Amino acid sequence: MTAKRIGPPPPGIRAVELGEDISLYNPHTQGAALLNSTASDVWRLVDGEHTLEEIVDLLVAVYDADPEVIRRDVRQTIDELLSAGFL
Amino acid sequence: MTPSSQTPFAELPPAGTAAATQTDAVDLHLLGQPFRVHGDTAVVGEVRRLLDVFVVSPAQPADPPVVTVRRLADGYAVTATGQPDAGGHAYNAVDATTLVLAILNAAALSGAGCLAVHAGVVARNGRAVAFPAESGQGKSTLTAACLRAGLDYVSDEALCLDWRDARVLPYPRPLELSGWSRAAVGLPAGPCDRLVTAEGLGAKPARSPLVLDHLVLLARHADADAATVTLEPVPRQQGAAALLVRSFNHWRDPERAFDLAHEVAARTRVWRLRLGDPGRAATLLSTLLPGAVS
Repeated sequence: MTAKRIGPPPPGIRAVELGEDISLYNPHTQGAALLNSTASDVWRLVDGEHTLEEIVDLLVAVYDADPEVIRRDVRQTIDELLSAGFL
Repeated sequence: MTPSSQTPFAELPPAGTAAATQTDAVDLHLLGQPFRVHGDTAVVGEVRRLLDVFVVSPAQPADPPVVTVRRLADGYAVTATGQPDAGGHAYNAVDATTLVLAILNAAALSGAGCLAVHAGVVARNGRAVAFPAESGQGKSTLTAACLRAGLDYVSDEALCLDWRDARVLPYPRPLELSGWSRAAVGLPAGPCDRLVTAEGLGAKPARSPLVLDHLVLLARHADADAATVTLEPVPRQQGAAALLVRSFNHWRDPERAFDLAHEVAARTRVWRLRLGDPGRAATLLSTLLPGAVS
């Protein structure tokens, strides 16, 4: 069985980068989300090309943090993006 | 703005005097919208004085929104076009004037053809600094202190950004200052206005064009009189967030508001000001703008 890839965002989602941070706007819900730098890194990887495990592995390689903590944070970020309609 | 029965700010005649039986009218242009205030001559005269920079000749559309001040036996009634009559509630002259300005302010911001953000704004030489904040965070006091420090007045109420190009549109309504605020900026003791014009603080309204250079997020010291005031850079995204969260009317065009907030944040410097003594804070903010006296 193939692991599910995350993303890409639905059409129309706007993403604006300010420094390391990304802000999102959903024209369908008229909602906005301001992502911190960590969540912004997750957003850059939810492009429909990576599975959850691949995203975690990529961030574990970059961040000096407990892989389980990163896994939990990535899962939570993706859940929040999904519930807000950004994915 | 809310009327208060404890505001000894003007020598207006009480209802029932001969002067109060006359009527007058003043035409105003607020944030691109026409208004007329009509009625009791003393209250209308005070409105004209306080809103002098917005007064226009009466060549406006035939039927602008009108705020009417009627004299009653025991005070003044204030009614506005499209709003239910409050049942002839009688205000004293000071509170009636304050209420008229509150009605005009709410209507102007509601219909403004700009992104209006709750903020204090000051300027020098065409460059502006804005501090978005909710009521009670000290923006009017800081604005007044900045005027005392020699900066020009843009608004103590709203940063108004043109929807197309983010130009800052001046909205120099009278500053609303509490007793503590008046003392903090060194206004003379004794009976004095709660509503104060820029001229009353020894300053002048800023002229267009105005470009926003700095967004300052206010953070309170535990000690309101603390001598130490600090200014530190913060990520620009926090500036965009403040513009959106403090906006009065982003709902009119949410997507454009989102874009505009980020465009502005991308080209301004964003700071956090730990606010203690307002005079010291104003001196610090003054150094951000060109033409500062060292």
